[in-house]
Amino acid sequence: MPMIEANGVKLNVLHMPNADPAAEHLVMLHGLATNMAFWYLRLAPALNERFHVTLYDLRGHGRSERTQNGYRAGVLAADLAGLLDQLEIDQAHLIAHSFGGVVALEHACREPERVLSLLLADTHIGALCEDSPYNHWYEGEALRQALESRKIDLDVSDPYFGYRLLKVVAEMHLEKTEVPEVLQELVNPLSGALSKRTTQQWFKLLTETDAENELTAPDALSVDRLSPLHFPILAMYGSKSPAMYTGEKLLRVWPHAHFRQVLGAGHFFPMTRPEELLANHQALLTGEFDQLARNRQGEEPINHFRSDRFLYRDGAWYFHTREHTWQGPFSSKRDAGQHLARYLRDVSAA
Amino acid sequence: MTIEEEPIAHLLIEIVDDLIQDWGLDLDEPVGVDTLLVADLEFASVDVIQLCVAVEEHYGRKLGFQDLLMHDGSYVQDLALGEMVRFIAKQVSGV
Repeated sequence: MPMIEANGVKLNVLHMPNADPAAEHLVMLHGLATNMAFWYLRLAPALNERFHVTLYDLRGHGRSERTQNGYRAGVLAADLAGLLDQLEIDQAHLIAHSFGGVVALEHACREPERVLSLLLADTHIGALCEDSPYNHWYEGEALRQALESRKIDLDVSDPYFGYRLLKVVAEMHLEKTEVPEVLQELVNPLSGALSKRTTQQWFKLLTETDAENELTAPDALSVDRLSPLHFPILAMYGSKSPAMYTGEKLLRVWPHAHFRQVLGAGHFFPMTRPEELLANHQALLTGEFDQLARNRQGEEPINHFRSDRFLYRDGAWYFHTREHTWQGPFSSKRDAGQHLARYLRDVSAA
Repeated sequence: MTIEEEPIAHLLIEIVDDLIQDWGLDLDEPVGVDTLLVADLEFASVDVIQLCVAVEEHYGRKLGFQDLLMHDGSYVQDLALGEMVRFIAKQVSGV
């Protein structure tokens, strides 16, 4: 994989060309404390069937260069623009997870004509959440109690709770302290043994460079800057994720965008539920979403989150109930649909 | 190891040796089929991807490494080079 110098930093890049030279470009941006491996195995090959796919490690991550500073979203967006220039990519679709979404949005605000579409996956935007407390999130109270009982000094209402949690968990890994189960889902990329060096790298980044201060500095993604973005946008959020609050704020920023809630999923759903991301991305680009009526007749034109009722996981299908349970497994989506119809009949007859 | 697997093992060892040459690892034994990527070589997920890409470039095709490396949305805990050799042999032969 080549190292490409862009904006004065060496970036580790993987370019996966499509057989059709005229295919459009798609660039994927990972979040903090991970690297291009987040996308490579389960998502990039499927997307490569339609696009020229480019993956890269953000500055200070993966095999990209770790600089002393340059971790504010503005600099990282300049890294992305520089990389696109080097690769002679004028326009690209973007898929971005978590903090990668902040970088993608900063890039889009600066050069909107270069973005064909954006899938924003579970991105927290500080500037949108300043006006209200952060602690009314689905699992927040349970997590607060779990942290308190283990004497872990973290404030779940801190807007940068996720970033600080990654640091605390990295410390636990390095000190070989057991990471409580309640935190596992929240720190998926740091939980496997394969990530020992990733953990060390993340900890060094936070302790030996200016990254921690720069990453938690207020982002400049205000409503005024975001609302003029008019390319197709899909925002997906895990229903159990603390970032969901940003998703709710975005509903009013982009009336033309599409919003999907991944039921029962946490922050790292692109890794744990890749099929749903792929199916929704395809629906965004084929215009399938536009065919869905956004509001019932007579209702105010307000955007809202929709959810997929069916889930494909580990080779089987499931359906979600209003009682917040998953029913299955079923061998096909059709089979799951038939069982759902029977389930609804039984519930209404009861 | 079968006759088909031997050249694959040589290829993997060559790629891995190249990848880790400037990591400053203090290895008790040279890299071989029993070497564990994480426990022995301290591979990160991005290093595994580097290895997969190099192998796929060699064969000029995708080999579906996700079936070997992922389980329930997470990376496997560790992997011996020999397991990777057997997987590649199976994929290349189409069995």
